[in-house]
Amino acid sequence: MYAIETTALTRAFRRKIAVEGLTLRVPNSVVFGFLGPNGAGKTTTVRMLAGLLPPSSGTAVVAGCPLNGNLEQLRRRIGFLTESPGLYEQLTAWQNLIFFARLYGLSEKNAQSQVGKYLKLLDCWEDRHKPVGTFSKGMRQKTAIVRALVHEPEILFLDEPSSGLDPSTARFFRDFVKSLRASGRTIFLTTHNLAEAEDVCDHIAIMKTRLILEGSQSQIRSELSGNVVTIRFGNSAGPWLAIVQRLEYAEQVTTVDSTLRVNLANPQRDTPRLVRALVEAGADLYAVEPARKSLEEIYLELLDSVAAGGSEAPANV
Amino acid sequence: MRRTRRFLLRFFLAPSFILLYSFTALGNLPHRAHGDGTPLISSRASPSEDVAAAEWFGRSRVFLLLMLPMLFSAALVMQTMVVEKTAKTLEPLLVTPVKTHDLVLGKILAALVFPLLAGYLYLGIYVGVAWLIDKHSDLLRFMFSPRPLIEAFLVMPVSAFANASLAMIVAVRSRDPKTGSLLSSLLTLPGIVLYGTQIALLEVLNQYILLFCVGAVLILAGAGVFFATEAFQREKVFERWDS
Repeated sequence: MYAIETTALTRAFRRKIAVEGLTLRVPNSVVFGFLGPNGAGKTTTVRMLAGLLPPSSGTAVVAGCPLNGNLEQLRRRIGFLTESPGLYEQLTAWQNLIFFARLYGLSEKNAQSQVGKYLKLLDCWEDRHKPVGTFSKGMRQKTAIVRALVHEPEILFLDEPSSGLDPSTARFFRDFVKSLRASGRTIFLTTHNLAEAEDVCDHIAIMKTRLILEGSQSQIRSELSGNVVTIRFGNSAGPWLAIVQRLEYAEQVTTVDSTLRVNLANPQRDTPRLVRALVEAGADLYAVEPARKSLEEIYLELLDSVAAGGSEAPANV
Repeated sequence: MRRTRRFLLRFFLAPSFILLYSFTALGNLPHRAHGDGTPLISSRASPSEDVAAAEWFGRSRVFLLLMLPMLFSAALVMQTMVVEKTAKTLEPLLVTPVKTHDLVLGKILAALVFPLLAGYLYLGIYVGVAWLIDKHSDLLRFMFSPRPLIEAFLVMPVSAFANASLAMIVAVRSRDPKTGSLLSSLLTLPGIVLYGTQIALLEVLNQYILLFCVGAVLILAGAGVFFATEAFQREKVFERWDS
C-alpha cells in the first residue's frame, strides 16, 4: 500500500500539456522530493493530488482515496502548504489558524489545543495574537505550516516551503520536516533547492512535464554516479598516477592533490585489484570509496540530457 | 486595517450618504415648486399635505434603502472573490473539506450582513430623527404600517440576497477576477430597475403584491445559490484562472 499512487496522470491546459503520463508510487512515511525546473508541472501535479485540479486523464489514489471519488474525504487526510502562505493578513495568527481548524471540522476546544501545540512546536506561540500582515516571511510560512497540520493529516504536501527563507529558518524547516517523517507522516515536497532535497528526501522524482527519474536517493546517487572510485593517499597522489594509468582495467584516471579518481570497467571486480596493485607498489592508502555525485550534479546532467534530446522515458532506479 | 477603512469609506459609506441625502434634497424640490417653503415633515403643513409628503418620503426612502444593500452586497461578494484570489487565500480555503454550497452560502451571507446592518442603521436614524421632530407625525404612522415594514424587513434582505447570489455566479464563472468585478457591476442594473419600477408603481403596490414579489425574489435567490454552487466547482476555479 502506497501513500500516493498515480497511473499515467496527465493534465493539459487547452493546448499546453503541463503534466504528461505521470506514474508514481510514493511509499508511506517517507519524504518524497519532487524536483524539476520552473514550469515542469510540479505545482500542477500537487494541485491534482490535493483534489484542486481534475486530471485530464489518468488515475491517482492519495491516502487511500481515488481522485475520482470522495474528494472531501481526501481533503481531510491531507495537509497542503501552498507556495504562497495565503493567510488573512488582517487577522492574527491565532484567528487564522482557529478559522481553518474549524473548517477542517475540529471542535472549538480541539482546534485551540491543536493550534497551540503546533504554534509552540514552531516557536510562534509568543506572536500568536499579532496580525499576520506584520509577520516576516519565515513567520508566515511557519503559520501556514501549522494550518496544514492542525487536523493531523496523513500526507503533507509542501510546495516550495523554503523558498525565500533565510538560511537559519530554512534549516529549521528541514529539521521540522525530518521530525514529521519520524512521526510517521508522508511528506510530498516540491522544491528547487537541491541541497534541501539531498538533506531531507528519502525518495526523489525528477520531472519536466514527464517523469525523468524516480527512486530512492541512495540508489539514484550510487547508480548514476558511474563506475568511479576515489582513492585518497596520505600524501600527494601524483607519484601513483602513472602506475594506475598502466592498469588495463582503469579506463580514465584524474588526480587532485592527494586524491585519484579512477573510472573502472567493473568496480566490484576491479577495486580490490587496484588497491592490491597500489599497496604492492608501496602506496599509503588513506581511504577508498565509490565516488558519489551530488544530487545537483545528477539533476543538471539529467536535465541537460533531456534538453539535448535524450530519452525522456522514466527511469525507475 | 487602514486599507479596509479606505475601502469602506470609498465604496460604501461615502456613496451611501451621497445617495441617501441627495435623494432627500431632490425630494424636496417638487414640494417647494408648489410655493410651499415649509419643511416636509413639519407639523406646520396642512394635514393633507403632511400626509402626502410623508407618504412620498417614506416610500422613496424605504425604496432607496432597498437599493443600498442590493448594490453593496453584490459588490462585496465580488470583492471577496477577487481579494481571495489576489491575496492567494483561495487555494488554502479550497483545499479544506468544507462543502461547496457551504462555502458559497457563507460568502453570500457574509456579504449581506454589513450592507443590511447599514441599511437598518440609516432607517433607524431616519425614523429616530422623525420621532424627535414630531412623535405623532403621519410619517411615523406610515413608517410603521405593513407596507414599509414588509419592504424594509422582507423585500430589502431578500432582494439583496438574490443580487448577491447572482453576483456569486458571475464571480465564479469569470475567467479572471478583474473581468468578474467589472461584470458584477452590471448587477446594479436590476437594482435600479427595481427601484424605478417601485417608484412608478407607488399607487398600485400594496402589501399583498409586495409579499408575492418577495416570494418570487426568494425563488430567484434560491436559484441563484443553486446555480452559484453548481458553477463554483472548486476543481475548475484554478483551471479557469491559471490557463
